[in-house]
Amino acid sequence: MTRVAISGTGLYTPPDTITNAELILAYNEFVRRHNAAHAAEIAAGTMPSLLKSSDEFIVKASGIKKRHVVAKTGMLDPEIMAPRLAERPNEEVSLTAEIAIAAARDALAAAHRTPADIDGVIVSASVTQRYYPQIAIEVQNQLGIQGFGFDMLAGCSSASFGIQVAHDMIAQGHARAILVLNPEVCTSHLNLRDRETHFIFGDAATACVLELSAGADGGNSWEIVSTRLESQYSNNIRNNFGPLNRFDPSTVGTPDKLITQKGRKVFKEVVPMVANFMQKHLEDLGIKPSELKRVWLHQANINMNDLIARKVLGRVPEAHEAPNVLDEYGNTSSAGSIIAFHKYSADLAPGDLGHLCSFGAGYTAGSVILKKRG
Amino acid sequence: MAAMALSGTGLFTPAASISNDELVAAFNEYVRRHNKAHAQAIAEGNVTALQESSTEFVTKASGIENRYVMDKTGILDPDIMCPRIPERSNDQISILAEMAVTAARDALKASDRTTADIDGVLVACSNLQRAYPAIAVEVQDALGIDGFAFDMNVACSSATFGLQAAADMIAAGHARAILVCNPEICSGHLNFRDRDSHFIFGDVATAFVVEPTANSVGANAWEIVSTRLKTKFSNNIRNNFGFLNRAAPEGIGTPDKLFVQEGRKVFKEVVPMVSELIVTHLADNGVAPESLRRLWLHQANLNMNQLIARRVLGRDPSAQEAPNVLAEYANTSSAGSIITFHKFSDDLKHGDMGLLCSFGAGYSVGSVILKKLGGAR
Repeated sequence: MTRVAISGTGLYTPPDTITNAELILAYNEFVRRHNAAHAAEIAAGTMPSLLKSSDEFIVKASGIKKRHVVAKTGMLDPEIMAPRLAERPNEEVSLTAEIAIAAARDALAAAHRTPADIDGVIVSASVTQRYYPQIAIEVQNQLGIQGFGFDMLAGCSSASFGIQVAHDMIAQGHARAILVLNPEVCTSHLNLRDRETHFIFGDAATACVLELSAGADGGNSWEIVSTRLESQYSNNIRNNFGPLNRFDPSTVGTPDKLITQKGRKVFKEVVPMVANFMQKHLEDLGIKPSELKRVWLHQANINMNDLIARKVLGRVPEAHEAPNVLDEYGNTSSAGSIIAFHKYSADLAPGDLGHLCSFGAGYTAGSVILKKRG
Repeated sequence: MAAMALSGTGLFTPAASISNDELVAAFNEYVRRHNKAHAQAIAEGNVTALQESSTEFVTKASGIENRYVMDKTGILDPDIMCPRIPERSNDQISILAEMAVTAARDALKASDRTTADIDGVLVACSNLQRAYPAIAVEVQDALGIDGFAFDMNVACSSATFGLQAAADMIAAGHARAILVCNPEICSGHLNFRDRDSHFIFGDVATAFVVEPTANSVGANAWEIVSTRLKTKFSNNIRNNFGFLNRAAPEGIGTPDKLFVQEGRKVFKEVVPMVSELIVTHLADNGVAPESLRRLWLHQANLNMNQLIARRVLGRDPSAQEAPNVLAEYANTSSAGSIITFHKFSDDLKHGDMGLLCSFGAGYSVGSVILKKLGGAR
């Protein structure tokens, strides 16, 4: 079968950051005002008082120390607790397309490719800014790419799912090269008033160029040895926001229209699902875990990632073997494993094997086994 | 390379339908109430009076006579002008998944397959009920399918783009067979207060099974000879509803958060784009237009479809050659071309050639050349 490679990756990191201390300051002030405003109900026992949070709680629960965001304004205002960003007119490039393009240009440069070499654009992310015209087609237009573009959604596994689709389309001769883009404005669906989840997400965009392995000449190109996808339905990570909300006005704006997550259940169910899935994929290819030079995991939660890496490798991994970017980026949904790959793969040697794996809402899990080209 | 087949199709049609007369009566009553409520401002020239519509206008502009909908009452209430369906709890199947599952069961039956034969589910449609968990994963679970699932969104071309993605993944060995579902609740994003577009869409779901021709046993299975996709950006069909709306509260609920179309521009730009893509696609595959026994076109607008069919065939098509379901179903986005294929393909004979083509918002165009596998020889 025709071999396809990831011939270059790109990253867009929003310049603004929010530290845990800043986030906690705003959250605790929101809590203080909320409890003061409802003091009578709280005293009467008809409403529970909200609990404050702390930097220590966040770091221990997640390993996250800060997150990059597209709009810091609003997020730290206790009266708003949501990003504030003026709508752009239709003639201007939309925000999601803009950050996808920044990452795409970076990936094209890394792959030593120009838009003329690309025949398809896939925007694959956990949410999409609008349904039509598709963000991928807007990106395609802005970059001056001929061919086709479409959007796809597979929660936090959107990058690996997009990689398989692009791989298969190239292998079947439907494109010479495809850009797979993961613009994630996670703060748009984050509930900053929820103590359990307000610290989880950050914003970022990543990009991968996929092309025939034989022609790839990027300085850090990796042959795709094999991809495998799996999904198992769960409501434990869910968001009910969507175009049908207007059918029932009584429920518009309720908290289930933002991300809701049952963290403990997710941890308990996803860790074994992903560890078994990765192990089985390696086993079916006859690759021993000891042959892997690196594991690039979805950046969800430090405890989860440590446990999965330990199960796959059969021992406690060295920090450089399963690199994490959680402390700086938070969870950036589908972009997470690509950020880890982007930052921590160039040092490896030709012939080295690595394992990229995403997992998340759906549940979905996507496993990509890579071999560095020489 | 292993040849792939479209081995069976399925259709879910909602029970309720709205005739043009019913729709226009509700719209005109809304217009009367609006103009009465704003009589003074209209007289002073500060508000423009709204224009009433008519069944004749709708039929002439589109060829549409009826549309199926998931909820009729809210749409026809001049004070609501929108479907009214109570929200379901998370432990109930969502309405979009439910429609897709019904069409999927029909497609599985047509292809003589069971859920145990399927390794992947794609939900490819113009509007997704929610972002996560993906609707496709819910459909996969409801049908009891092992494997993977994800959602794709390519507006009116979602079905053909989903077909290519499915065929390529099977050819690459990533699945034995894939179910592609196109549930379309177009009334979810339709502005029933807009005279130019309120009549355009209907609700429906289609589904089809893709698998290698070598395994395909459905009585009306077709070999996928070739697929081709093309997109070109346009704001002429646009909807700004989405997650970022909360970052700009002043824009929530403005008319651009529903379907907006510059119909004349779309007509002028899309007809040549689609005709050229089809003609080139056929030529590159050595298929002469006159060898096509049938065209299954996206069901957008009767005038548009007739013009595209004429440009492809080089003459006026007979009603049988380029069948339309617009009169009964209206525009059902990505489901449209699959409905015509579903209803008007099993009479053809083994070896007959046909072309399925979708087009719409994006702009996006997907062309699929098909050759009948089953059927009388």
